[in-house]
Amino acid sequence: MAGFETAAGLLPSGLRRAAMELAEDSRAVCEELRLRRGRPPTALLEGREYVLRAGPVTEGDLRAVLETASRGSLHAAEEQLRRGFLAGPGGVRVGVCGTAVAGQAGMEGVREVSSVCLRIPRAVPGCADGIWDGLTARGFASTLIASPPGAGKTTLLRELVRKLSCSGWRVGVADERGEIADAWSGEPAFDVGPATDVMTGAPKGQGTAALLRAMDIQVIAMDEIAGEEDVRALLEAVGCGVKLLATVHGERGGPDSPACRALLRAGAFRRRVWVERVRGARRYTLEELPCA
Amino acid sequence: MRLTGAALLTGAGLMAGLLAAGQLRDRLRLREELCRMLEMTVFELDRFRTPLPDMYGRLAQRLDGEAGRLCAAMAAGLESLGERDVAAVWAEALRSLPERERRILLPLGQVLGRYGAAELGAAAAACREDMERARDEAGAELRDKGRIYVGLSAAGAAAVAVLLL
Repeated sequence: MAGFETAAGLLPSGLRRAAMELAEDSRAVCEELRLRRGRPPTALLEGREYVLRAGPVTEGDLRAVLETASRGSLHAAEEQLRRGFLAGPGGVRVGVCGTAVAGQAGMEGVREVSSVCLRIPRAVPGCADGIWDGLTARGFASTLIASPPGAGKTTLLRELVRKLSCSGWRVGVADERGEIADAWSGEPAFDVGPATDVMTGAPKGQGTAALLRAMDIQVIAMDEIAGEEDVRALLEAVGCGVKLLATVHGERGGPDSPACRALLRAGAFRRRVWVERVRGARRYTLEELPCA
Repeated sequence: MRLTGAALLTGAGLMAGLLAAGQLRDRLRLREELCRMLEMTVFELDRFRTPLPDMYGRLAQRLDGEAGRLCAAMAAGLESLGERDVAAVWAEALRSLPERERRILLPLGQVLGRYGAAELGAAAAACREDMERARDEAGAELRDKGRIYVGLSAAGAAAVAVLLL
């Protein structure tokens, strides 16, 4: 089933009907379905939100989405909800927003859910062909993929993982939200190559540590470097002689995030690919980084 | 002729008693199976936080009789989430159970799938306690009434037979 249909399948029947009324070509490029309590649902198409023909979203609608996405098992997804998301089927990420329950260890969960965002993953085989030669000139070196949210970092990351794996590299993927490989059932639903090992569901730092310890990998891939734990795990990997392939939020010409700055300062990456969206199309720009 | 009639009456009376006692035994067995199911449910939720479709699929293979059927119905029903919610799937799976057992299990459906592991485990444990109480009652009833049913019905039939003869 295509990503859009999988995401729409998580909606209650009335909203699903409204989503399926979108034209075929719109469904093909739809990036997100968004439900906000008291507002009609919307679809994100090429960076713009379009209102779907349905009534306002109710509390029951939001609860039904979470119930379906968790396969009727919110108790099994508490750890994910604590981090503000729920990994749905087919690599669909369900972002959850509402009243946070704060505890001693920080956010402990979300009650009174006010909105959910169903992010639709998409495999685009061949999307990295234009930069592949540049990325592998003089051998593959640690590479950072940077862009603002929703520009297509994860899609490029997935394709590079596949190409590296097909080129003979042993790649380990720390897939916290299951968006890169969708391997919740054990077998990746996305093609991530023949020599790829996927650790699904663990926080990225812990997943990376486990891959380093157990799988003798040559490249570690992770999506959206964010906190200190991620930085520590990636620096640990560099120290072990493992190459990095990771994504981070950022805008060309803008400031780097603290995590990104720490890694660049340590010389963890040799190349950076900027992903930009220009008139609906993705543009990749490869940049060689100076040695630390 | 009278002798045959008397023998048939005695046999029928004895059979009626045995059937009544058998019903008590069946009820006890059913409640024992459901207690076992709830015990395994609490264990799976507490220890592994197993997602419901996986848990009920596993329990369906390990449990016999009505409890196994109930778990299989849950596992199958949870495939259609989105069309129905978990509470509706649970209520549907309980439909073939007798009234008392259904009444004990039904409230669990309001908690399944909606709450965290701690709340869900507590609800399943409370449900198990109710079912264990019902099981103990059924055990006591079988002990107290089972033999009486058989004895009384056999004696009653024998008395009628004596009168006939």
